[in-house]
Amino acid sequence: MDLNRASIVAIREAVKARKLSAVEVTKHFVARIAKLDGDINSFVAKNPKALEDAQRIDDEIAAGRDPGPLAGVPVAVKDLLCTEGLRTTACSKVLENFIPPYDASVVMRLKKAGAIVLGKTNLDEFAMGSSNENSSLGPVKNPWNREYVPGGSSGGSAAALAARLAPAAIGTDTGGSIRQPASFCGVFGIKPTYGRVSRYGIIAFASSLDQAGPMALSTEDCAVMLEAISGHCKNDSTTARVAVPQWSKDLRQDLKGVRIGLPKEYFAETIDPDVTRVTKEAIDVLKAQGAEFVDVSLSMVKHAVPIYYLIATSEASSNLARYDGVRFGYRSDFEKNPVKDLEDFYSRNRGEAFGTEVKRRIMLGTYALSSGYYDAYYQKAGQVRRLLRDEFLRAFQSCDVILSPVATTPAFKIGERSSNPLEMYLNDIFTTSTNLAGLPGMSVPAGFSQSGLPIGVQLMAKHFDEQRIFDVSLAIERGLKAGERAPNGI
Amino acid sequence: MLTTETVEKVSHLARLKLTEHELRAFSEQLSAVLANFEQISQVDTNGVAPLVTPTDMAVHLRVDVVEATDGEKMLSNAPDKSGRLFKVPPVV
Repeated sequence: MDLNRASIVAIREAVKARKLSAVEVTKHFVARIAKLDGDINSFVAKNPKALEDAQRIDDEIAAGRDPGPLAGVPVAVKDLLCTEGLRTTACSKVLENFIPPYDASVVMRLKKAGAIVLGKTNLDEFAMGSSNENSSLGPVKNPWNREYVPGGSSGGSAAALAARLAPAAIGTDTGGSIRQPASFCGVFGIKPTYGRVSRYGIIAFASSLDQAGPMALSTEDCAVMLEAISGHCKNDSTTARVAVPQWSKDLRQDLKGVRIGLPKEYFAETIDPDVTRVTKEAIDVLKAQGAEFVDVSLSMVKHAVPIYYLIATSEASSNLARYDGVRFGYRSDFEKNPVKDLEDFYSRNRGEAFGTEVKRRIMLGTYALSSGYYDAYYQKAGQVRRLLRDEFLRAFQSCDVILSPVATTPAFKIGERSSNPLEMYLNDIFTTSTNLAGLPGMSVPAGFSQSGLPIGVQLMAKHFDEQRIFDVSLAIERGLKAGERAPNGI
Repeated sequence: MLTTETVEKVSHLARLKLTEHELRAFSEQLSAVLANFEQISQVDTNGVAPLVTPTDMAVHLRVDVVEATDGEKMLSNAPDKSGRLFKVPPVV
């Protein structure tokens, strides 16, 4: 079996049938990371116990037990999820030495399903960024072209998959952080419905927007992964008490009777010609599978970036207040420069350890929540957010899935946009709405730019209707085969 | 327009020490960001309640029971400690 091309279902079946051991599978990816990741920088920590964990899976199978639906599957986990005993940094100097005393629910569920945590992947500090350039542990390079960003904030997970350093990964998505890097790196990635996956143990950025989700090399792999990590969790009261369907078993690429909406406002933006071409190719393939296309209007989407950045930074300014240097995290050297008062203690701990983008967002959020500005910014953004969500719900009365580009361009060059924060924020125009409305959204590889960079299309559906997304994704996957290609030299 | 004085005031609210360079840069960058974000003031939101969480879900509370925790584990990430206590420098 060529493990660089194998689906996680194939790996699981081979491991369970004892044609291949979990140790062999894990060793393969550990060796690839050692050989190829020096330049890409997708992993920021390796799990020193990965082989022991794999051995335990093999032992269980030898003893006649079924380790679960991810038996022997190595998974790369974004370094925003707590892993017991394994350093978890959020790629911030604040948490450079933080060793979590517990596993995030997602990590616990992965392990319970028989998966092996391979290591922790790079991200923009506290998931704040769209390029993975804001990491305290260095930028990630796009395996398709090392001069380009992999996207962000789950850039490490996306790049690791593209370079076949892991067969599956976990990302998180607050405003596009799974979908945009998936598009830039040519892999599949789904942000589930808000409430589908537990946020317990995931370092919080914006709690009403954050969701974790799978990134993988096929539709079916994403579905299998999502089945393993979804469901109500007693430690996250915002997880929904709804059944977790077996999406992977119900996959069907025949789209007869499926209505797909094209939001005219998305296509009115300035879009790179390669992205327009690839999106059209995806639409043609879906038409051939029997899907019916309808025009929908989402007039509030043009305001999505302002609403998103006001709400996300407001929530972040509150969530990140916990990093005060008292019980954990970075503390300034007060032996060298004695502390003046309590404010000096907090301000120096925070000012010395947070990176520039995180500081900028804490400042924006604090301003938006401050007396005299709350009504005009935070509250107003919340009101427009409701209008935006209601518009999406109305649009879904005339269609099952909404299709759009993921981003206006393919991956951009490292350093190209990092000096202009507003320009970087506006890049998130197509992805932020699903988080604001709580809808599921997926990036599906659909083609390549003239210069050979991957391009994905985005699929969105009603709350808890991930099945429709997976069905349409499968039709694109089989029709265009864009997800099968690997970067040169990989 | 966000003046450097306003930025300084907000940095105090956020307990975030900024350098002179950051004060100036944030004043300029956040002014540009907010100028763009002003667009939402034109949306008619009369009588619209803010949406604070995206899905209509009931809040489920779990039973409030004290569970045993490992104190050593909880202290293991402390920057400084004294016995079973978190230690900070004298601030008054």
